[in-house]
Amino acid sequence: MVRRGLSHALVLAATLSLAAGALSPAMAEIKIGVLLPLSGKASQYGITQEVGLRMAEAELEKLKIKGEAVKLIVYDTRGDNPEAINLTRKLIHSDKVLLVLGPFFSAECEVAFPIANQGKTPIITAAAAKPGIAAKNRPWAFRMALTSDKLNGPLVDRWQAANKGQIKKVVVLTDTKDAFTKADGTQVFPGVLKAKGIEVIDNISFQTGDIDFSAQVTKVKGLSPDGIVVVGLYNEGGNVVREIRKQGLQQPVIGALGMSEAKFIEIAGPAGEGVMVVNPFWADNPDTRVAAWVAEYTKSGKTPNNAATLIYDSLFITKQCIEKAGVTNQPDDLARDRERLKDCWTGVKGYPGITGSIAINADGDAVLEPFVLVVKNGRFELVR
Amino acid sequence: MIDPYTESVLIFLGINTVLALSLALPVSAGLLSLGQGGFMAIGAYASAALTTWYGAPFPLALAVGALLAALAGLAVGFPALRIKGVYLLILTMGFGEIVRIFFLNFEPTGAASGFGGIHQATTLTGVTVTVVVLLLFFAQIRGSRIGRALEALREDELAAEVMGIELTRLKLAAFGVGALIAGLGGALYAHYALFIDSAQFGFHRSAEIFIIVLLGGMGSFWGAVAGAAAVTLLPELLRVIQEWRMTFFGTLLVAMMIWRPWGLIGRPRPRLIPGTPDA
Amino acid sequence: MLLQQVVNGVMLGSTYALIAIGYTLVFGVLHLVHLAHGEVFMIGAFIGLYVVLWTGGGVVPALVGALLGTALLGVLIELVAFRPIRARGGHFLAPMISTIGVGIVLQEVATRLFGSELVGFPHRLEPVTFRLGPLTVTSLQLLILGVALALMIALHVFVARTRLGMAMRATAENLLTARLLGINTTRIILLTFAIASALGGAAGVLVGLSFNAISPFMGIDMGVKGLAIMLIGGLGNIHGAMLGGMALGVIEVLSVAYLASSYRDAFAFAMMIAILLLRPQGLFGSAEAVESRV
Repeated sequence: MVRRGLSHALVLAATLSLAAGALSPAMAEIKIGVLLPLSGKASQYGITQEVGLRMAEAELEKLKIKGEAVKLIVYDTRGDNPEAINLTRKLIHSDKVLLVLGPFFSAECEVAFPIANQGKTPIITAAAAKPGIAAKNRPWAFRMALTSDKLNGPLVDRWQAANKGQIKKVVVLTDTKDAFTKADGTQVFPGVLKAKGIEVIDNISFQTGDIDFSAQVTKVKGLSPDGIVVVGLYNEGGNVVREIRKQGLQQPVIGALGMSEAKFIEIAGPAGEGVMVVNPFWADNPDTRVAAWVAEYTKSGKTPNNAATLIYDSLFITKQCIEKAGVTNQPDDLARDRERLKDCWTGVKGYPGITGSIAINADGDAVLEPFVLVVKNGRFELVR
Repeated sequence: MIDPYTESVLIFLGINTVLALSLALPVSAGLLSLGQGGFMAIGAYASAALTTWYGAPFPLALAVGALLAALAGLAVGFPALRIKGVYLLILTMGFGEIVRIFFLNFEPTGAASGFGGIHQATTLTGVTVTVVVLLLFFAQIRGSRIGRALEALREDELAAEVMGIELTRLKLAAFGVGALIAGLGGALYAHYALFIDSAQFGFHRSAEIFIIVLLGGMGSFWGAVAGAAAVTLLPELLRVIQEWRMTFFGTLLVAMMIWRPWGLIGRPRPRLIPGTPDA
Repeated sequence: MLLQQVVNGVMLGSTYALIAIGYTLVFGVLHLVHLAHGEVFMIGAFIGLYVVLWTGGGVVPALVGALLGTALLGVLIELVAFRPIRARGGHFLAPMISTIGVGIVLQEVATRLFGSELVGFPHRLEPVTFRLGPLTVTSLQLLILGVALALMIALHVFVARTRLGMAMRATAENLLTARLLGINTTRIILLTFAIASALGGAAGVLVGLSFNAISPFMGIDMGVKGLAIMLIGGLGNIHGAMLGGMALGVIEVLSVAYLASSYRDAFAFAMMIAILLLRPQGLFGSAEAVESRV
């Protein structure tokens, strides 16, 4: 008899709790999609950027956006284009996110951006550096990342100044396998150098993934330039610089955007001393806000880079847009909300990010303030 | 109506199946190829150029892309006549790499920047129809004289020759048609992803197709379908194993070679003296 | 300038030769194309790196650690991935395909353990650079060249002159007969794997030191090139592997110096294809070897 009473009670309790669950409204959440390469060959890029993302997430957990919790739906693209296509579709149509942050690589963006454009969802990459990918997919695609043509000019100026105007002819070493460095090394840099009156004697190529650069550097040696411009990503760039010093070349060296990361210094070692680069994010910036951010980031055991600050800033710009643009976050309002976010993002000007002052131009690209940096004693120092 | 995500996954499943079938054909003749990526690239770039630059209708571009790939297949097939086993594997891998390097440097189709702006022409219906047609084609072959000739060729080339089977024509055909199908797969891929670059068709791709066919059973067409399904769908269904996807497949490969070397679906080779190992 | 480029090429070539020798040994004795050898090489580099990082030691402890570690790994691979296949018979390509699986697993495990980033040995181990007139070489490059030569000679002596070497050759000729003659083929096979893998591991440390580019993916490129060299030199022929490696290194460097870097890999493959078509037994192999060995 007692048993029967107990089981009745249990059933009653279960039914009541189910009913309670059904009756109480679901917590409204702000859903933001994120695409990162977290596994596979290029996972290090995604993992480093993810730390910045999670930092922003942690802060937003306390701050909330208009009182609602933020839910980041993070998918791993593995750096694979078909995955990027599937997952962009999933985020936009199945998960119904307000906007998408990512993907990371330029090639992934090339396949994901058209989907977001068609699906009328704002998509913002916080890393891809290939020029023009956002411009081709307006108005929904944005490129919150570095644009080398604005940044290389100040770098060359400071370089020339540091060398007392003695740089008349240079050799450019370009990674012709990566779309970004290829454009940077064969078009952007030569254009900037020519405009500043510096002659490019030769443009010698190497490939992403190369480990032996002896042939190329021996060739440079034979040309006796006043300076050397290395346009590569941080791994190859670091080893090219190492080979340059190994073969006894003393010329001053400047590096492309990809080389303005701490990892470059790690790979290049002592050979990296004196190399000048440009970057909108300077990890040793004494500015309190940046320093605090860097300190927090470093707790993860990794070294921060501009990709991490850019995704962090992107999330907070999105927060600002949701608050200011009248986003309601009602399921019926999804299309209008996405539209509001897109319009807000288009009009970003003078946003004070960790990455400095940020504005979005007509091409959907971010306009960022450059710091010209030089490697000294194993760290990046500001060149004034 | 299926949601866009599921549709996307299914389309890639279809394309992977086409590619798996493209390899299954030469493998059923005992010809191993690690170069299907190269044929895929030719089909992709050629068809994309035709639709994007010349506004050609998609079916025409598909056909031309596939045919060009087939021609490349015949060209590679000739040296393949005299070369076997691991040598052929290396030869085809070399071919695939050379094609990749070519497109990496060929400026008119974008070189390292890739080829974008392709308009979408691949649909789920289109892909499904292609797969069904191919499977019917292969079912036909298997039951026919050609199918038996392929099997004879695979099992024992010398005996096959003695029996009067024209090795040259058969091998070339297997290679050429395999390449044609791979080119078809490439064209379908290009007109769905809307952007292609040489990195999409490199050794990684060829190896993936090779592993699919191995898992499914060497030379079995249905095995190729099963392999494609396993490799495409498992990661989507089991996002849990996403992290360990490659370890999973690698271990599976080793395990299969130990216990089921004839693959998930293929048939075991009859032993001369049952019970003895082929030391 | 040309001379320096040739020297560059020979130095690069000797690293290729080191890897090719490992492949050649396994193929020579077991008729097996060990497609995971590149990954063994990669693991060797990491073992060497961590020995240096944890003990603060130099090149020698790194090499010793790598030699031992990869020898063990080689034995493990034989026990787990090959012996069961030989015991059950099956498709003649099953062992080779099994190595593909092993390679994939090793690569992913390495990525999990070490991350996918490129890393280098601590810079305090930087080699010393020598200037010999207009030429520049580093102590490490000379070391690699020396080690490759020494290994080639040592292997030759071992295989041709010692009893174990003879046992190995007998096993290579015919497994069954060797067994009937009383040779412990099981142990010989284990020994072969251990030696070949140790060679790969040592190569990994030396290449890692030389190029400052250790990552879980370094095995693929090097592996493919090593395989190509084995084919060019002649399957199972150690001298062929050595000379083939040198040749490839020089051709690659010259192609980069006088053409463009993008064609670098294409040359390796073009050379390979040319050899396959014109002289399938490789530059130094013998014609009958081709028929019986595939």
